[in-house]
Amino acid sequence: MDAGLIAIGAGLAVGLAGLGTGMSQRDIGAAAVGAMIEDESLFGKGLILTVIPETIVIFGLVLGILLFTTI
Amino acid sequence: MLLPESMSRVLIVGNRARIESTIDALYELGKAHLIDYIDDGDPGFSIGKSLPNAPLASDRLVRLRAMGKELAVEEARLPEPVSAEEVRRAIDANEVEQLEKRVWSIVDARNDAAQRISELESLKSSLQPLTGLPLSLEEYRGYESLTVLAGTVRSDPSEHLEGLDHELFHSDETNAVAVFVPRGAKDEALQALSKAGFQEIQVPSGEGTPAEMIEDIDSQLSELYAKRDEADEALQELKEEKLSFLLASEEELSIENDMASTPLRVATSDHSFAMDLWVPTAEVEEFREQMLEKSDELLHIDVLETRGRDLHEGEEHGERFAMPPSKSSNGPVGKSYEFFVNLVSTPRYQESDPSIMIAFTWPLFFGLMVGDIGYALIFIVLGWVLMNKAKAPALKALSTQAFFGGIWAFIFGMFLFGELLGMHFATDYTSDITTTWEGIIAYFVAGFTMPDTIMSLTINMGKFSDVTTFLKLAVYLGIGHLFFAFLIGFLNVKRQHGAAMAVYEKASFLMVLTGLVLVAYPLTEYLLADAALEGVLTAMVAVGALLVVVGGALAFRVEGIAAILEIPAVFGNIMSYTRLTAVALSKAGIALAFNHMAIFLLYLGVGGIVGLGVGFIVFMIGHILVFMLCILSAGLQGIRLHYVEMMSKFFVGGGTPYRPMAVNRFNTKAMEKEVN
Repeated sequence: MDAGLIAIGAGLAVGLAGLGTGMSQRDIGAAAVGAMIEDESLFGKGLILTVIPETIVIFGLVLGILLFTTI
Repeated sequence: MLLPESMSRVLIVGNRARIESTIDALYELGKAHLIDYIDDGDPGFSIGKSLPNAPLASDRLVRLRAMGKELAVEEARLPEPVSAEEVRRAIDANEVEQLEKRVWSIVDARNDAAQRISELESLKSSLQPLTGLPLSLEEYRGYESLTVLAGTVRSDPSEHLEGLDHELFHSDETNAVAVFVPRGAKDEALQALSKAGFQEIQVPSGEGTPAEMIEDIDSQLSELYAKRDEADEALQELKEEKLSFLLASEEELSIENDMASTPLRVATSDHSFAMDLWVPTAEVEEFREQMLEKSDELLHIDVLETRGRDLHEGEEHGERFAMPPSKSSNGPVGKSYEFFVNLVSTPRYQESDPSIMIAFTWPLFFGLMVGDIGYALIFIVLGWVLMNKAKAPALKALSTQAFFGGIWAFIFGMFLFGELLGMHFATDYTSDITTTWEGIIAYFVAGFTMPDTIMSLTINMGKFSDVTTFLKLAVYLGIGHLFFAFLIGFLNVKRQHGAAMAVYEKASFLMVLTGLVLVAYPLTEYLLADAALEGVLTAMVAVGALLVVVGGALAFRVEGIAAILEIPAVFGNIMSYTRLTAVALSKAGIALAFNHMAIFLLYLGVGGIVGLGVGFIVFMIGHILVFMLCILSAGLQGIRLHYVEMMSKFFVGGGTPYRPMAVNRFNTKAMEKEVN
């Protein structure tokens, strides 16, 4: 029972964090692509801005892994 | 090593008659970065006029580029460069103009054919429906008391025309109608026909039946198509024949045009000119002597200053001279990584170029995330081949990264994890021995054990079983990385604004970083490892907290409230490096799953020919997928740690790249030196 709940918790941590990242990357990515159409040299800056929210899902993943190792 | 090369500002003044020979000499030396003259109302000085050969050169260049577009010539390197002298002779003999005539005569013929084709096609499509009606083209016109309406309908219009004096021809096959009505009843008939979805066709003039006319058009069309294809072929042949001339003359004319228009960037008066230049300090004396020699000492050349790295020093000289160009001083490997820095921005003259640091730590991070000698070998081979073949800077940079990343992946895969294609050589910490190389080989060779010589080389750390160790390793790497980043930031600010500012801006955050680490370590020991919070651990918390407070206060003095908000961000930055572990685990997990499936299919569960075949396919697909993930996630996450976490600590960018006036020949060989 406990193991199951922990696994669900770990799944939620990764899944919800992933959703959050996706939502923010959607907006940033769209804007970055738009900016790149105007000026191709903005690729690097666009990439940086787009990957910033990725930290959220990494935290989720790390938490998930830590939870999972307690099973 | 980290800073762009030191630059000196040089002023050259000379007689206006000597401007052309001076430009020639500057291009030949290829060391001077010209500072554009801005006409700001200096009495007696104005922007110079381009050299007399400029209009012709630029005119020819425009013609050549238009031709190149028509012939679909792409920028390329010739296998064998052409002699510039020959190209020059051909250009002077009006070869460009002659070639242009040939090209345009073919292009015109092709365009004429294409236009006629589209006209005939549209005529044909309007005749097509009328082939269903038993009328010849003459019968549609030439009536005094009748109007003929011809067109297409969606349904049979006879019911709508009832009560109207008319004669109707209708074809079910092509949905065409021809309605003959008295001259005065045209509007009424149109209204009635519109109910059947009538769309009028302008009946083309001509004789005979529509079918006959279409036949005639078809024969014309096939002739025109042949003509068009012939023209296309002729253009292709011409392109192949003249490709080397097109590319070489474009290069030759670009160089001529650049040189001839250089005076537009120079200040001139009635009788003299003055050029401001940046020349690398290391070469400036040699440059001065060479220029004097070339001009028979008839130029006045002054080395005005050697620019330091203090930003205020630049501001004192005014906007035009504030920012010297950045000429990086990296070795061959660092040079490849400049590409990734330039994707963000060009480093300023006054700041460290992060290329070298990226060249050290990106492959390291990449290797840690891949951590498998199977993939490592592919990266090493692929990287090595492309690195030596690629000419495009992007590909060269990426292959260099693949090569060095592969080497680190091999080191980690061999000595730390002991892993090959997602499976350990052998393992001693899990009962599941089927997914190890030892287990697989033992299945076929009874009693096989992995030789101790191999196992003694590796720590054999399990990515999943030792996840906390792995996480700690990532965090420690992150702390070290950030520490270095703040240190470079400290040196940058010290150079640009002095030591006091560097302490407020960067040493403060070095203290915050150290303090956070000192606080976090005992706390994690207390929370996760049940260590008692006493003795050294308590002291660490106290010292750490003090450092955070002092560091925060220092930063607060110059950055205000933003500094306080930055403190948790530093903690976030450290945690961000756990992605090294996360990416490594996710890839190892996928590889493990595919290996389980493949082994089950190969011999453990299914076996036989079917098992062997399917198992092998699953194995291949799985590992290709993981390999792709390596490129995407390990590569991208690795560079992200540099872009976001590291470079934000010291890198500003916005510098001007060093572009000396120089003759860069790729498709032509330099002319023999003229003998004066």
